[in-house]
Amino acid sequence: MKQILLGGLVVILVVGLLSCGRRGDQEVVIYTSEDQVFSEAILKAFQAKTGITVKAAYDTEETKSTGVVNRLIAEKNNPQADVFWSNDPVRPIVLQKLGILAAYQSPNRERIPNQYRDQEGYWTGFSARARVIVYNNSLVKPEDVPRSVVDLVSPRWKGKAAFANPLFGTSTLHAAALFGIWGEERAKSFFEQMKQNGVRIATSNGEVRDLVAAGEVAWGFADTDDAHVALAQKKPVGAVYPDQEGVGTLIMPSMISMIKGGPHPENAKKLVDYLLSAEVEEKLAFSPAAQMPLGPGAKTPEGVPAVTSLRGMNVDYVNVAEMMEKIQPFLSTWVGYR
Amino acid sequence: MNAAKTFLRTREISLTGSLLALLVIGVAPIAWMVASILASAKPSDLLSLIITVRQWHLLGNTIVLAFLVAIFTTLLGTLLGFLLAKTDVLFKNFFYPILMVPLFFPPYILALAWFYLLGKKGLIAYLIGARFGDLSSSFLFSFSGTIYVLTLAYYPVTMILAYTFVRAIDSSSEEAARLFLSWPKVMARIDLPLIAPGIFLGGLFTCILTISELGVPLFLRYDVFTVQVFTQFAAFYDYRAAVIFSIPLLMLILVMLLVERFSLRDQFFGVVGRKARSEASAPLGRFRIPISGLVFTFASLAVLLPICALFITSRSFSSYLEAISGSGQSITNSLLDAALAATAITVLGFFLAYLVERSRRTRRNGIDSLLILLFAVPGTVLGVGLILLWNHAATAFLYRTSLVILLGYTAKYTVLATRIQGIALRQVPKSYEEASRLARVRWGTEIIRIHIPTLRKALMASWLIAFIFCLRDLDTAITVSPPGSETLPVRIYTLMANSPDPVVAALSLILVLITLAALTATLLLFRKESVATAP
Amino acid sequence: MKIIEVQDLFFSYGTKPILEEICLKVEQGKITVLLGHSGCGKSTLLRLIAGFEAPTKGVIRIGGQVVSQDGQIIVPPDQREVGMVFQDLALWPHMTVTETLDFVLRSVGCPAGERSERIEGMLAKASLRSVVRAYPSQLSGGQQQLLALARAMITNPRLILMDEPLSSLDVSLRERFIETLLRLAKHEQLSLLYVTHDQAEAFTMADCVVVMNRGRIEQIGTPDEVYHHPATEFVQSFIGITNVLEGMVVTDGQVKMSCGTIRCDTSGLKTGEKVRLVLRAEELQVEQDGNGEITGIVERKVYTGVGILYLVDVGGRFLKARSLGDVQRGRHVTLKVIRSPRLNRVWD
Repeated sequence: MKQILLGGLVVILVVGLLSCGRRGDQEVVIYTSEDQVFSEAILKAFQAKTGITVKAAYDTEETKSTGVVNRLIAEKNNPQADVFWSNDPVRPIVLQKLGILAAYQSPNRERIPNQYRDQEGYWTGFSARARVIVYNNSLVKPEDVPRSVVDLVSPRWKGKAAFANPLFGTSTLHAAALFGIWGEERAKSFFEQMKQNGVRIATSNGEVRDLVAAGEVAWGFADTDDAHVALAQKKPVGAVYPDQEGVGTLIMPSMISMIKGGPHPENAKKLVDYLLSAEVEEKLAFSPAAQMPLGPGAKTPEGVPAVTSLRGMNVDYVNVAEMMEKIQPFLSTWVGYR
Repeated sequence: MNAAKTFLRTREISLTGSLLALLVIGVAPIAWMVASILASAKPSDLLSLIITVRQWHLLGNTIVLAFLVAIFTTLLGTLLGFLLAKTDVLFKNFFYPILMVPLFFPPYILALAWFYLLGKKGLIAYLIGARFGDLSSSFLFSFSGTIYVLTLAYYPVTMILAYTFVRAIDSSSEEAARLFLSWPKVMARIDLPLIAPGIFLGGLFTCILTISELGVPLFLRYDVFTVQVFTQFAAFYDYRAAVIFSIPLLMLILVMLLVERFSLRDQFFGVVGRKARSEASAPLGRFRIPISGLVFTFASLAVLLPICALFITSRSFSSYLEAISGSGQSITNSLLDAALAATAITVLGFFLAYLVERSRRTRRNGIDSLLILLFAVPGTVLGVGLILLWNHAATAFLYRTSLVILLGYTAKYTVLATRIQGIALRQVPKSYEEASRLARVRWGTEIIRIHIPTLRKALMASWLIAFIFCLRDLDTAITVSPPGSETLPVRIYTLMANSPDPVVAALSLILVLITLAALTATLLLFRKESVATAP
Repeated sequence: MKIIEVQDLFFSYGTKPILEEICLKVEQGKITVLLGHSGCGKSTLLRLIAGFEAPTKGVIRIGGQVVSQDGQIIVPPDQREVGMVFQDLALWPHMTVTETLDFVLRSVGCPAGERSERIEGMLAKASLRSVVRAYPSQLSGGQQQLLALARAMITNPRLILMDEPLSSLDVSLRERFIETLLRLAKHEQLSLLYVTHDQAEAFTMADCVVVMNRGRIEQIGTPDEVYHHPATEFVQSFIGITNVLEGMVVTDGQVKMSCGTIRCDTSGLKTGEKVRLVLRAEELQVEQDGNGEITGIVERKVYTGVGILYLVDVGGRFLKARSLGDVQRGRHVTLKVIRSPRLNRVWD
């Protein structure tokens, strides 16, 4: 008797599982590497507004898993996703090279300045983050706060600073940007000095922030959203934008792209339009992510500067993408995986 | 004559069917992926095969780590298994499921919990002093710390195996020895040799788990080779290279397999007579209280402390509310996926175990090696293989639903069931089956009336272990989860990025609690059944 | 001298009573057999004497020493100097023949030199010299049995317990084994407590038979006593090959049954009383010339080791009887009651 019941239960469950996979018409599928904590709310808002069900695949921190990018690449021959929302400006370029993206000239593109989007409409930037220095304010006095990336090699901070693994995440962009600006020789030498100066390599920006907050290190490099989250949680940290007198800090917009051959192209366009709107940029600015709007019409809270007020590194994201590929062998050896 | 023919036919069909299932579920994705790699192979790919000095060093690190963790977990798990299964330790029925808890955590979260405890600004530092905090922090972020955390993460595997097999020892073997020896000596000279295959199996599993574990060594700053595979994926988006870098690890595991086969030489000492009567308890006498105290202390260290750390970090009830809101779906998904997969694994595991045990050596070793390798293959590699194989319009019913997750779990974890049930099957004399065959019993009835009852303990242990592993699986799930059908571990990890610590801690505790609840429910359900058939 | 004394022993498993009011004395140097159906508790009694379980109530003494009492195991099994042969033999699969014997001797503290001597001796006695390096799985059934026995004997225990050790052997092996056992027992003056459900075995081996039924002792006595003077109805019907018939007292000295009327001693019984008769096969003789009281047809002849057993169809049921001469199958015969059968009143 028990066996019959169990068997019946199994059948029901399997049927249930099978049927829940069927795709409805009013759906859109988005893969995003923007932290779920921030992106989920935005997507829910879109769903509420338009009635289109959003099915999302989220990403983890850089070293927790291999990410949605690999999934997009693996699914190339039969794309399951409609839209890709990247939280950094360079990964979409990688995908573009692999022919995974579709061009779409969204009307909302126009509000985004030129340097943050490509010509054809493959990727469009919005809601940017920046690299920041986070420091533990009980270990670092206000007058000693490091102000530049070169402080990583300063003897006074020997063994007291942290940097996230430059093979992953935004640290890769940062490294590539430095290589671009300084040239290969100076950049390589800088990295060698970093090692000698005992800079602690963390597994992610979030970990850098946690190590700083826990006092395991005095300061380190992270992104603006990491810093803001720590501040919101009243951790004993402070944050500054580095190199405001020098090369500037790296501005990292989020990017929106359409996937070629996705299952719901019309709904995808609607989602892209929505995400590029001032409404979304404002929402993200006010969220704990504190991302800086790139286009006009979005209000910002206290603590989120206008992106134009910051001194940003003078970079072309396509060049950064290329440089990223070039320096990976060096970085691999530098991190000790080779 | 006809009955015999029909019997043979149904049996052969079911066994061949199970082999086919294994090929389709497990081998096909990997084979497809390897084929597509070979098809697009470039000379530069071969270059990456050359291992640098540094990489040899990393490989060495991996071996040493795996070896030490395997030894420690085996010692610890066997000791605990014996104590809980064979002696009259106080509250042993309570301790057994509780001591399984560390296995419910994805190891990274366990490491995180220990970080909350032993970090420079951790709980210990808060309670005892900053000086101690420095010490504990430098202990944690080191080779020793990595061994410590991984041992605490994986000892339940060996514990469960030792416990299951000790309980299955025929009591008359022990009683025969009890006529001459005291209990401790009986356990050492008779029980231990009889369960040696099970203990070794536990060591093998924890070895493989350690080799494929990345998050913990990365976090605790011990460089291991597995990071190569991961880097190829995450940094270079090159799954081809990732697969190539998996090869040294897989070869390592194959070597271990060969060692196992050679040293055990297929000797399995089963004694099956009457079923064990009342579980003979070795009385601890005047050591009962001290030893129970030690077990309690260990449970506090291994289980209570990390949970407390997470609990304190979760800070307030609102974290739990926040954690649960929106997570309801993933909790259901997790439980459903894990339960279904565990059942499929147990069933498939039975047929494959039968096939393996009743086959000649070459076929047996072949299937077994295949299963072990599937277990050892990094979850992301398997995931990509599944995507490549199943992501077509024709197979959308599979790829777009949670079935693809089930396939992934089954491919990865069937070895657990097959090995456990294999050991148990070896203990059953063929005469049991021969008797039923003479009585013209059909294959299906033979399974239900003879095999399932005799293998009951092994079946339960397989299901339990498979369930735990499926529930906490991350790598495979995150690679293939259809959008909107995420499991709880996946959700924890995606939320972890910039979620407030309290919410992450709350979610992790919820995961543990759910696993514990599901497990206890299952144990209770089946305890009733086995009590009903007591002598 | 009593090697085992069991006094007022009760044993329950949970709430289910297994043994009740067991009182038993086993003589040193003798073979005592516990005889009864499967499930009557005889194996449990053996385990209690070995010390694997404690009696719920009662005392067990071995060699005059109290070893178990009222829920407590006072002397653990390894200190009782008891050897045991288990029903499933319980040989240790990871030890060879020599290793098994060596292991046992070492466990009881026998010094190295003496060990090899004793092992040699035992191997010779048990005819196991040719298989010293074999594992139990490589031994034949008979050799396994002998190894189990050798293991039980080698420590010179004061008592050997044997739990249905022959149940898996064929007849010829069984005979050989019994022969070996009896020879050893006599030579070594062994005290044996032997459990079986097989009467032939019991009556071959026993100096003293203990008949058990449903957790109680029905009778203790020599084989002759138990066979010829059964103390209870159960013993009478259990021992030997018996027929149990129901009938009614019609007149003084006559009982009517469905298959015929027979003469027997009805003293103490009233006319019309319902009775039950227990007739041994040898008390019912097959007659070919119509002298018997019951008519029937020879249905089957069973060739047992001791003469021929006849199954006679007396209209609806078969009675077991013997004959002096040979009788053909299918012949019409009559059955004559040779001895006055024991009568028991039947209560509804």
